[in-house]
Parts: sequence; C-alpha cells; structure tokens
Amino acid sequence: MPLRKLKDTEIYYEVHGRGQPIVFLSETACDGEVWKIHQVEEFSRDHLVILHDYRGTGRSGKPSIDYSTRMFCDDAAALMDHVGAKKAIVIGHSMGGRIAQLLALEYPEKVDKLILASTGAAFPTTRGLPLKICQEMIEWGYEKYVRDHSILVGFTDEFTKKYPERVEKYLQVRMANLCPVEFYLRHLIARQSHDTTGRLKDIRVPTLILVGEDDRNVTSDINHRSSSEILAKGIPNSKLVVLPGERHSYFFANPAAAHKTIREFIASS
Amino acid sequence: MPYVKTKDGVDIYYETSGEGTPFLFLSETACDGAVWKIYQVPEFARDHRVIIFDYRGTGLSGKPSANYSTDLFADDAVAVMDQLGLEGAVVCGHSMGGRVAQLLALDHPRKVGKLILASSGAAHPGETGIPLRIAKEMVEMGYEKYVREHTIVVGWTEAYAQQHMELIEKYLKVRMANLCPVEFYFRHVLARQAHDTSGRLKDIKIPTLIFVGDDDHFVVSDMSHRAGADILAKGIPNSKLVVLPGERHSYFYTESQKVHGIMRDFLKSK
Repeated sequence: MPLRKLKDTEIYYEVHGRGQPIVFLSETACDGEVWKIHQVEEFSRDHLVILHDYRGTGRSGKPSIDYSTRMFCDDAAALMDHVGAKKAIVIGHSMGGRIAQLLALEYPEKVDKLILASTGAAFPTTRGLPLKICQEMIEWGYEKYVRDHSILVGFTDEFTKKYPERVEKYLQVRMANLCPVEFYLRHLIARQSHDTTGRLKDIRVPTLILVGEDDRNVTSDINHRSSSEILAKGIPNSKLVVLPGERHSYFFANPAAAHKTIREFIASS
Repeated sequence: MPYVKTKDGVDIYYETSGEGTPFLFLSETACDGAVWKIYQVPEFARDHRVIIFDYRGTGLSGKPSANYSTDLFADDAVAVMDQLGLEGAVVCGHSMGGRVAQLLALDHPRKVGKLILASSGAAHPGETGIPLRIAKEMVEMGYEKYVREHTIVVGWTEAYAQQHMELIEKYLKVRMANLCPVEFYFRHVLARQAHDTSGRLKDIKIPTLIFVGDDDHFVVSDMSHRAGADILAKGIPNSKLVVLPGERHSYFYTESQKVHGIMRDFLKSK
C-alpha cells in the first residue's frame, strides 16, 4: 500500500490511470475510498486520478494534535510532489472544497482548474465544535450519527425512498473505515476554523462551483447552497452550476450528471 | 413550588431555608441547586437565610434552547434575590458558580457582602467553545456515564474514592437525580468557557475567601482549578487563599466539616 511519509505522519494514497492529474478531496473526516465508487472508474480513463486519506482518516496516520485545513492542504501538496503531479484539476467536496481553495491560493503552480463542490469559504459565526453535532452524536451514538447525518444531508427523501440500494452502497463504503470519533471532532474543528472569505478574489484559476439546489441542511450556521453563492460572487473566473433536485452527495447519488458537468468544464478553455 | 421569572422570561426554581444574613450558593457547571441540600443548607440555615436555585437549563428551571452565558446565570441569581428583596448576601460559588459569583460582585455589588470562590477561576484563556476532550469522552462513554465518572475523577483523589465510595455515592445520587438533557450541559460548558473576568478582578472590592483543593490539578480544557485559584488570589485585592490539603474538586459534598469551619471563621472576620 502506498504511504507517503510526511515529516509528522503518513498519508495513504492511490493513483489510477494516466493523463492530466485530477486530485479528489473528500468531505469532513472522510477517507478517499468514496471516490472509488464512481469517480475513479470514470476519470482514470483519461486522467491520472489521485486520491488519499486525510490525516486522521482511513489508513493514514492519526496524530492527536490540532488539525487545520491548511495542514490538510500541505498534506495534499506534499503528496502531489511525491507523485509528480503538476497542473492538476483539483476537485474538492464540502470540506475538501475548502482545502482545494487553499491549494489554489498557496500552491497556484500546482492547480490548473478548480472544482468546488458543495462547499464554502467560512462558517461566519460558529467556531469550534457545533453544539448540535455534539448533541446528536451523544444522543444517537457516533456511528448512527454519521450514518443518519450522511443520509439526511446527502440525499433527498424521495431519492432515499426510490433508490435505497444506491444510498446503502455509498454508506457501506463511507462507514467501512470510519475514523475514531476523536478525529471526526478534530476534522470538524479544522473545518469550522477555515476562512478564505477575504482571499476568494485571489483565486485566479478557472473554477467550477457545483451545488445541489436542495443542499439547505444547516449543521452550524450556513448551508452549502448559500455558501456556494458566496464563492461564485467572490471568485473572479468562476461559474456556478446548480444541480436540480440534488442535495449534498450527488457524486454518489447521480454521478452521471456531475460527471457530465465536470467534463464540459474540463474541456472548456 | 417557588419560581421567579427572569427579565428575559425564564422560570427559575429556588428554595430558601432559615433566617439571618442571606447566604446564596451557586453550583458548578450544569448542576442544579439540590447538591447544597446534602450538607450546606442544614449547616448554614441555622443562622442564615440560605438561598439555592437551579440555573436556567438545569433542574426544575426553564430550559430555553438559546445561548447561555455566566452573565445570564448571574441574572438568574439577581432575579431570585430581587424577588426575595435581599442584599448584602454571602455568595458562595463553586467552580463555574464561582465565576457567576464574581459577576454578581462586579455588576451587582449591593447584593454581595462577602464572596467565597471555591475551586474556580477567572477565565479559560486557551479554549473557547466545546472542549474536544469533553465531546469525545461523552460520545465514547455516553452522557450519564461521562458525568458520573468525570465527577468522580475530578472530585476526589483515587485514594479517597477507594476509602469513601459510600460518601461519594450519596453525593452522586443527588447530582444525577435530575441531570439536565445533554444540550443544556453543553450550553453551560459554552458559557463557562467564554467567561472572562481576568481584567476585572481588581474591581472586586469586598472580602473574598478563595478555596481550592491542593490536588485539584485535573484539566478538562486548558487550566486546572489549582492554577485558576492562584490567579484569583493574586488579582482580587481583599482576598485570602486557603488550600485544602488532600482535596480535589468536591470537598463540599464529602468533607463538609473541613470547609464549614473555614467559612465560619471567614464570616466572623471583618
């Protein structure tokens, strides 16, 4: 198994295919496995697909220290150096989209195009662990929280009723190697502290902003639908695409629609 | 049952016993007023009017799903004192209650005659918000087990807990009897972590007794009560620090005779 030894921990990663590199960045406290359900197969046909487990998740090291999106960004940059990926397309989902913004800002030479999926620039009022999340994790139990929260945030009720097997298929992968709760919480703290609001104007690469039109669940203080608008207003060379009928997890619910939009964006100049 | 409504409309449950100089007790984080009825109410109601109450979010008081603060807890206490027409009280605050007591002395000085700050502090300088360690342990252990085990480990030394478990159980029965829903435990933790009177200690002018167990070194967020007590003693001009040998956080509920004597000496002094 490929492990990239960084100065303070090890990062597990995988590469698939050949071509212009595409880096996939997962949501909060989620390892890289989820991209293997649909995206690796699709994009490794003509790209070098790079996925990895954030520190604190999956098979990567789990140091008990404070995490930050900047730290996750530096991990991804070190990994890109390691596999020789230059001028990559960076696709970040949710918290991964916050890290993708930092990659474009801190390592502009590494990023050719940016895809910010269901993400935002900041949680303006909630720093630290959101009370609602802590409360629900304790009342429901950690695994049930992640499971139920993933369903509620990810998929519309109609979708869950109509395609329970697709939701289960995703959950099977999402829950397979769930990180210990300490690291879920460390990821949450990192996410809540992230703030690139004042720097969006400095993101110069072509940027596709994707969001489900129904992504309105609020776990702390702003929903992804609203925060995507902020990104679209703030990033000069950006284009917002709202996916009709989708919530947070269209990569796993309706990959065909997401892939089509992404391929059109990659093909455009 | 006696209730008073605060200015923002929350029903606060309170009880009074005895006659004499008012003596107000303020509980620790997310803890109702019932714990004082084990030892302190019987002792001090002999020659004081003892007042206990349940903070908003705890016990029999209202539990609005809103942000809490130590200022609001001080308002809860003020509402009770106003209702009873009391001033010049001895105010004894334990842990977070000591933070609320400082605010009473600072913002409502007429209401406070003497201050007892037990195992408390002025701020948690390094950590705002819900401390990771608390959230993690609550998720891993479950809420009730966390409160129970945390209370024991913070409250008493291992040696004491081994020898006097029956005393500790007597306390835990009261502490756990009316445990607030976890939401309000967190709302109290958030209020506590945000409290900061560091820059105002010099303005506390009344006689102040500071208590702390010499073994109260446990750290849930960023500072032990032992260290917090030293900062209070340095900052409050007319204060006296008493370190209780062999004690951790919860001497009121197992070694009350030790502290009651010290409190009575302090009440007698000018």
